[in-house]
Amino acid sequence: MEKIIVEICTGTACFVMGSGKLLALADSLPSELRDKVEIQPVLCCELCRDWANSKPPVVRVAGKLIAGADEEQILHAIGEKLRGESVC
Amino acid sequence: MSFFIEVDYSQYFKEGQSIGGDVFLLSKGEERDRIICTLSDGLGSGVKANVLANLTAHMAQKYAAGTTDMVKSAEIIMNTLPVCRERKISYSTFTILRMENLKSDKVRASIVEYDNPGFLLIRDGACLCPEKTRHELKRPGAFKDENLFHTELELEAGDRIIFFTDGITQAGLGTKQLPLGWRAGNVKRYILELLNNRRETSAYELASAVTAKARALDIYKAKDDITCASVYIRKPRRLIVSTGPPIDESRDEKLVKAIADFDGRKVIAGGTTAQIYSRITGKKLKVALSDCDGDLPPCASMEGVDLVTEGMLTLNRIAGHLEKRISLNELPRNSAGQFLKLLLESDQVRFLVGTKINDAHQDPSIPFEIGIRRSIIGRIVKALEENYLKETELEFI
Repeated sequence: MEKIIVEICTGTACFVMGSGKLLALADSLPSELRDKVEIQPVLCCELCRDWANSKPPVVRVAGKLIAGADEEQILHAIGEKLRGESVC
Repeated sequence: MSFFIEVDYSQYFKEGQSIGGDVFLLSKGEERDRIICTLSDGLGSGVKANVLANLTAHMAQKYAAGTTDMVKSAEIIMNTLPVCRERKISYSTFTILRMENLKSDKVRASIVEYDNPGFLLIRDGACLCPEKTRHELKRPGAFKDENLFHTELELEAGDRIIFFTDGITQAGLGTKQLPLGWRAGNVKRYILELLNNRRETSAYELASAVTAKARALDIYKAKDDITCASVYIRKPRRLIVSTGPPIDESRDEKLVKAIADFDGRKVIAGGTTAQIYSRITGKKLKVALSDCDGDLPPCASMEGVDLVTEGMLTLNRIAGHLEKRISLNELPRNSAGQFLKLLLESDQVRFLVGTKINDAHQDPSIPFEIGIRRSIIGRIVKALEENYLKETELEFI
């Protein structure tokens, strides 16, 4: 199975709004997810111009955008993706 | 200006002292084509020595910056300085070096020495012995003949001048291996060997290698203040720092061309700026998670660029470090550390600053740390020029 890619924006706005802490997910992921998920920092998603619709920090889980992301939302999205794939 | 004159020094204080009796001062003339440095060694160590050495060095620095003849200035300083009542010797020794960077590919140097170990002039891997003029001072109350030595030199690319205090030549004094200390001849051999192994050694690396060796000879407990100053005449190392997107998208190509055509090392500080470069040149951006310390965003790599970092937070941190005169051996292990290394290893830095405003940074919920790009760059430029004597160029796009 291909890994689920979690892209974390590390642009200025996203970083100060908390994406720096989200990068630590690479170490703190629950063990059952370790082999299934890859955390990738991204320089800047350039979504910060559209503040209203993409509040920082911005994260993409398997391409799906999460604005104002926190750890819980990311884990939730990973879970959803995993379940979605197991059904197919 | 055809040459860059790199000047740096390294210093250890006598073991147990938190203040030194060796003082090194460095300044550039108003037109930036004249560099003056002074190394003064105050009698003894600690606070008294520091005050005397500072007094001497500051006088020397001011005189050499003016129009007074170097030897005359040195004589005035000598006459001003008191003679120690017990030892009947002068309170401080000094070496004053004045260099003028001429347009004609020559650097003219003038050196006045009083009682410090003689300076070394190294050209093409060999130590030259330029002719010195002796000026005898006749001060009342002096215990011995006092001589000032004056040397006029024409320096070429690759030349080095190295001078130090007696903490270097007397390092290891009284130990079994070196009962008479390291001595000038051995210091010279050590430096020549070092340069033969690595020709491009920077002024700082050379000075710190010499002081580290002297301290080791003192068995890691310096018995006197140890100071070595080093001058390196060479072709300038250039760096371009591009930060921020241009005010208008139509200028993106111009920005990319300016970076791509630059002859020297390259840094892009800013996510958007890096994306622009990546989009136009087709080079891929790769962010490395391993460089991140959680405090600053990680850096990225891209073919053709030496370093890619985030913009405002990293630059803000860099301004802070430069203002505190951080040195090459205490750099943090993050993107700011890598950036600082490139800055400190360059002689001329060109800043290409985009003036577009990032709307996201204007939101009131964003922390104050993100200042205005121009003012942060202004702080960096000022610190580089004043604290590190780098040459800078600033261009807005």
